[in-house]
Amino acid sequence: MVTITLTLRDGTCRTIDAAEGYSLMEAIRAAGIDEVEAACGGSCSCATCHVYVDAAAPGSLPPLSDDEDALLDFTDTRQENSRLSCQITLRPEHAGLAVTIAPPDAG
Amino acid sequence: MPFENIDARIADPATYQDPAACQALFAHLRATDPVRWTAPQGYRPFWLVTRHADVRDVESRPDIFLNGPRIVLRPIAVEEALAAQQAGRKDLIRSMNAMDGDEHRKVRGLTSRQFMLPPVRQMAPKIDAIAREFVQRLIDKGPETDFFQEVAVWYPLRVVMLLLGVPAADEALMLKLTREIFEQRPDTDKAQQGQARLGFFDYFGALLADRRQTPRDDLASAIANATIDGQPLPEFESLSYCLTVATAGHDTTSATISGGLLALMTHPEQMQRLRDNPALIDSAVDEMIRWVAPVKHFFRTAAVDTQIAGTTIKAGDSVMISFPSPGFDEAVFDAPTEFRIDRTPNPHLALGSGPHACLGQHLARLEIKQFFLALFDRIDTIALNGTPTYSPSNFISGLSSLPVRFTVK
Repeated sequence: MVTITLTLRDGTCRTIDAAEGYSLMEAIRAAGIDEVEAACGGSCSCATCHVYVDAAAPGSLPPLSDDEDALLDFTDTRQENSRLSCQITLRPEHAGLAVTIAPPDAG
Repeated sequence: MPFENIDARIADPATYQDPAACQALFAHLRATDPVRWTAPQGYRPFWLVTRHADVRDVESRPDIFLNGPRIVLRPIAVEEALAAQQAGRKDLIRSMNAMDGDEHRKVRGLTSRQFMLPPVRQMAPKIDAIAREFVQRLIDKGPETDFFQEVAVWYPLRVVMLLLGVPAADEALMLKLTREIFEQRPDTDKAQQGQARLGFFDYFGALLADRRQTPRDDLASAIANATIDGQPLPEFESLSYCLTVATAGHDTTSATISGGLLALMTHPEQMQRLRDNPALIDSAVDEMIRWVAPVKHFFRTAAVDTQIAGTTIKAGDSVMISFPSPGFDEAVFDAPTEFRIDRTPNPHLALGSGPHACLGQHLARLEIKQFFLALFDRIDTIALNGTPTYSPSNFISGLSSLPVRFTVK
């Protein structure tokens, strides 16, 4: 299990223990949090699982793919630390990862 | 006994011609044997996974449950005939459906940009215009016609062929070859799928050659001139890519539009609600997809020893994930056997989930939405006018005829 800290849209903090090998998006859903829509099911095609990475172990996150970069560009809420949570597969090195769920996109 | 010969029924293409009986069988399996070792005679055995949570779990672990090498259920005799024809390969094509990891991401990435939600949203006026053209075609066939054969088949075909770059004059050929690839009739010649594949490859070979000479703004040009890590995409993969887009891009959408219309006609209060509240169209579209679920299964292969819901799966075991069953799982859906156009949320898995979820899902939703909006703009009443029929297939199955009678506003 990997311990992750989430900041929800109302500012509430939650700490969850997520199973390795699943995406961060799946881990957030599995914790019963319904703030990531993930309309495309986790196939990097919609940008509705957008999060801001507040803290991560150096080098632990996978590089941004061209598709993820393009999708984030379509949002009006992109920041330096934006990622799509479906694109982060959780590994032991992600212990201590902290993310904030981005506001829904006006789209 | 209603649930005898379960293994044979799962493999039998005729099973999927009776959607209600099929869902009753899946309900039985979810309740009694949700991860079932299934060994129909004449097929390589597999685990059948039917619960929502378990299908989602399998799709969420793409490093453990690989897409290759087994893609769909085929009789051993067909697999062997294919292998004999093509140097040991048991599958017709090599497309992103059979790829994993980085290779899958790169190959899907060659066209994924056009199918993302934001650019697809911008296609709405274009799709609306095509939808209106096909509603006019319906009206021209009235007041009685076969909605499936005359309209539902042709509209999504036009959309995907425009994207791919195939001229309208060749749409009938594309439709014929698609049917030959997917059909599983008892008298189907074992070699038919291989011959249809060759028909597609001949056609797309010429199309790709043309687009290498004179690229256009279409998917064929993107595929023809694609490179992966600096190397051109091999020809077999390029042809397979075109075949996948050409076949996957319309049959399922035709099935959902016609199955969705059938559901509205057999639930007239739901049809009236949608007509009175067009804002319900988005939830109605997903309810149609849940209800019809034209894709019946895909396979995964376990890379290592693992578990699904406590059942041990050995490395190399085949896993069949059901696409219709999760959408009717009582653990997730309130009254799943009711058709409700306002069902929200609607986390059906009929389009798949995880990295292999349907590439064209946003386009498919848009096509269905624009069609029904255009239909209700022009049609006053529409009702069933006979007994619909379904195509036999354990892979992709839907209506094969839908007789309707209608009046125009």
